[in-house]
Amino acid sequence: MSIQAKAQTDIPTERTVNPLWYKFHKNPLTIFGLCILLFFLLVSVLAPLITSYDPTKINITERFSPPSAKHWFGTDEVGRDIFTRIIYGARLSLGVGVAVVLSAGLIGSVVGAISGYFGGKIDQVIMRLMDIILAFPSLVLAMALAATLGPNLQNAMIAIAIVKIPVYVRLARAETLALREKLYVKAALTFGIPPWRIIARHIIPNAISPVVIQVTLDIGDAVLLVATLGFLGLGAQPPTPEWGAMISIGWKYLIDYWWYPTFPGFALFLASCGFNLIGDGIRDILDPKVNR
Amino acid sequence: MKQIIVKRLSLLVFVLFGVTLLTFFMSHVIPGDPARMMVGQRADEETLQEVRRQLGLDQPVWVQYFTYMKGLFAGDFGKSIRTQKPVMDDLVAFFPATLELALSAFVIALAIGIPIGVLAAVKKDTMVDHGGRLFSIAGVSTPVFWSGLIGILVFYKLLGWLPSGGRIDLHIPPPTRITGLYLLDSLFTGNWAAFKNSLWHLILPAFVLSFAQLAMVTRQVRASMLEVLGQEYIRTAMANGISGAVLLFRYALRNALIPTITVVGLSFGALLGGAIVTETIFGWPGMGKYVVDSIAYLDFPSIMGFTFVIAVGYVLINLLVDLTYYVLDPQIKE
Amino acid sequence: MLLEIRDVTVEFSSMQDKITALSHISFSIDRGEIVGVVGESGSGKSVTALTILGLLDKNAKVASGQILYQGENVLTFDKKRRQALRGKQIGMVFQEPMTALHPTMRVGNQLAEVISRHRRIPKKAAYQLAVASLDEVHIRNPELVARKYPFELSGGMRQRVVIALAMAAPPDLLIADEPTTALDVTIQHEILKLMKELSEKRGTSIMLITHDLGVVAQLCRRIVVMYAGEVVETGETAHVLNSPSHPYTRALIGALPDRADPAEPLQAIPGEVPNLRARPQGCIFASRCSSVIPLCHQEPPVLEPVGEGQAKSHKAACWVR
Repeated sequence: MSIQAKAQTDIPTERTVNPLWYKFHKNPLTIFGLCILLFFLLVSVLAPLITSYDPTKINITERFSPPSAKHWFGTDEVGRDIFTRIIYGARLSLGVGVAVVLSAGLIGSVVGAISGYFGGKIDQVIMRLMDIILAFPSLVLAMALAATLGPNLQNAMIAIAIVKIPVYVRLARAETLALREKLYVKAALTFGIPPWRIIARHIIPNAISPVVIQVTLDIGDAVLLVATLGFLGLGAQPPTPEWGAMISIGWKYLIDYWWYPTFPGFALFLASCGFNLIGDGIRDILDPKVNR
Repeated sequence: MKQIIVKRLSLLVFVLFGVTLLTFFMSHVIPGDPARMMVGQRADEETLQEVRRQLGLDQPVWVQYFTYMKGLFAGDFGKSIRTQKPVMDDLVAFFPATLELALSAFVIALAIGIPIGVLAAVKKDTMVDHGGRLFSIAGVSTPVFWSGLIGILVFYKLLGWLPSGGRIDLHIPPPTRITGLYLLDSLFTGNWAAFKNSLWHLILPAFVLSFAQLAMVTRQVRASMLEVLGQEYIRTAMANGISGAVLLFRYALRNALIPTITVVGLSFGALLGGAIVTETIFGWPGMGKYVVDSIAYLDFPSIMGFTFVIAVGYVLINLLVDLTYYVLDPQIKE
Repeated sequence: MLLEIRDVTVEFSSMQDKITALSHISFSIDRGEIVGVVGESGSGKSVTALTILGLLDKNAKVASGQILYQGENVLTFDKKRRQALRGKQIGMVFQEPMTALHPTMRVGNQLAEVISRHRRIPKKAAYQLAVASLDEVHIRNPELVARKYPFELSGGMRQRVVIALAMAAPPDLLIADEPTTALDVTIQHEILKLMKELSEKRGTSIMLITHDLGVVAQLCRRIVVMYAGEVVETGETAHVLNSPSHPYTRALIGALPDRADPAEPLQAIPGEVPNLRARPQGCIFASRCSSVIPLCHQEPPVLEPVGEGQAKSHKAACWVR
């Protein structure tokens, strides 16, 4: 006994149009994050134009000069210009962070897609392996791995990538499980297309968007991890101008020469903030649950 | 409930097995030649072979693993190359300091993070909310070693309010060891001088360590409060005259905390990782400082012993988190 | 008169534009009376209820009018007085019983919370009353049910609990927003019977929001027909249903499945509810009306009595007589 009027238009009590620009506009922090990253990008590309110093050139007569017009951020224990080292370090620290997360994302997605697609024993083995990796706090495992492989930047990158992989495996696996049931994948199967082709052509391209969100969210963390391993002496080795490695030497001089560890640390903080602000903004835009 | 515990525990056994396998591989298989590392580059071939035999490295890998496991069960992580003492003894000695630091940071993170998260949700899209968001992003973006250094610069060098490191001043005898936590032990023994002094030393490292977790808690509480506040039962409660603190805490926060618990459990990993760095910066005599000192010596037995203990602790914490989850949410059965 | 709504307009502002959800509506509810508010979804029924309780979203604004509760305009009340009204004077039952209860609090405790709040008695005594109130809404084994969590109860049981909650104070007015829509047909009937019984026993007035004319015919003395945020027809249920004056009301009745000749196909109302962002100059229903005249597009009709004598309370807003 109910009225079935055809017309059903709810009064929109919430905003109905949500253009991307509006969300970005409403979110000045994301813009701010973008500016930070652009700034770092510019600085690291133009490094040789911005500073006339050599990041590794020793100048013992000017050691521990406080910040001045000549040395904006002061000099270190062998007289190298800290400002110069920071902007050259930006290339390294940010580049390494991005590279690590991208490779972890790529490897993890492929492994996850394989795991989800084939299921069974392969899936079991892969997922249990991931459980084991996830049983460690990420920094602790990265530290142990880097120590085992030997302390250098390349090994630190491998260690961090390993630690970051499980998240992507899980994401890609879940997406694949859902996609495998979709009609077009089943159709492709009946045409006799080989599995690796289906994974490459249909599964991965479609499972990619949650992976991309995760990548943006992860880069800030990876940059921090690289620097932390550097700080612990397990990453880039001095005299490489990597931020973490600079702090690892510099913090011992903190009380007398405060500028030495402070400025590289601030650069690290700023860069990580930039990535996190953007990651946060992208999640807000793509995930309707966060911003109701 | 029982089933859950049994299921979780069996998973735990499996994961621990995997953890031992991983640490074994890292300490016995990958790093070239541990015997060579022990004897140094200059030792002759004979000594090397002797050490190799003593370490059991001449045995097949699976025998080595078996021996390793046997040792683990007996609480034997091997001998530290650096301290020349059993790793287990070292870890037992350093553990309470880490526990005290981590627990304090944890309490700070919850005590500050939950109220800020609630406030940010209630005042959504106001300055308070934006401030809270900026704060929490700054929290996860700040490297622990940097915030530690800034803390020392400001509160020690500039203001002179807090000490720059250590757990207690040298001239004050530490309290009699009961739990190994200075704060508790000095309370139990009524040792006020030690209590005040160790609290004074604890404040800065605990706050520095809590920062990242604090940020995560704030962010999660805000998000789940917003979600819960938008739910219909809240509107019903409001229509029925529930308001103010009762609405906010008994109706909204209580349910918002359920997803928060998971995040708190996960963020414990960050806390344990952060403890390594914090202890190093503040010269806090815990397991983290111990392992960083060991890294400089490439002291594998201690690094692996530490890694193993932390992994076990982390897995147990997550088990605890899961159980809390089941207790708090009656809707989850099985 | 218990509640009188006079010329109320409510606007929602979103990011670019303004939507008039209620446009100059007026109606009233007497003591002990059950009034049905009818209309399609989007007609402003629920917005009316939320406006009375002061639970509108932040982006909503009451642009004109008064809501008189026992002669006082609640729109001028401060937060505290407004709050005191909710639950204690005016209770509310929402459509969806599955989500209307606190998911992790036992049913008895939820009731006790509300009861102790309104009657200012300790929790323990309130819990006894809570169990008693479960009995009043005909829940068998009230002691047992009081100890259960909402997810352990069926939809019908939950709606009884929701009603018990709304009636806890007890209030003078109960607003029920589609209280049976989400329930099975057999249970719908029981819930309606229960509400009628409670109303008669306690003299509680009920504002019953529904899209179901059958329910109105069965329960309500008076009816308010709403369309696109306006009251288009109102009066005694018998008058309105037997001799509807507004084409929209006629269309609603025509759309009832068990009416008239079963051989005749169900009449759907052609067209769509108009865009509330840009209200037309004339009658809001003109675009869908079958008996439209030129005047309809030029000037909005006013709600005027259509009957004489006894039927004088029967009013409609339509130019075509």
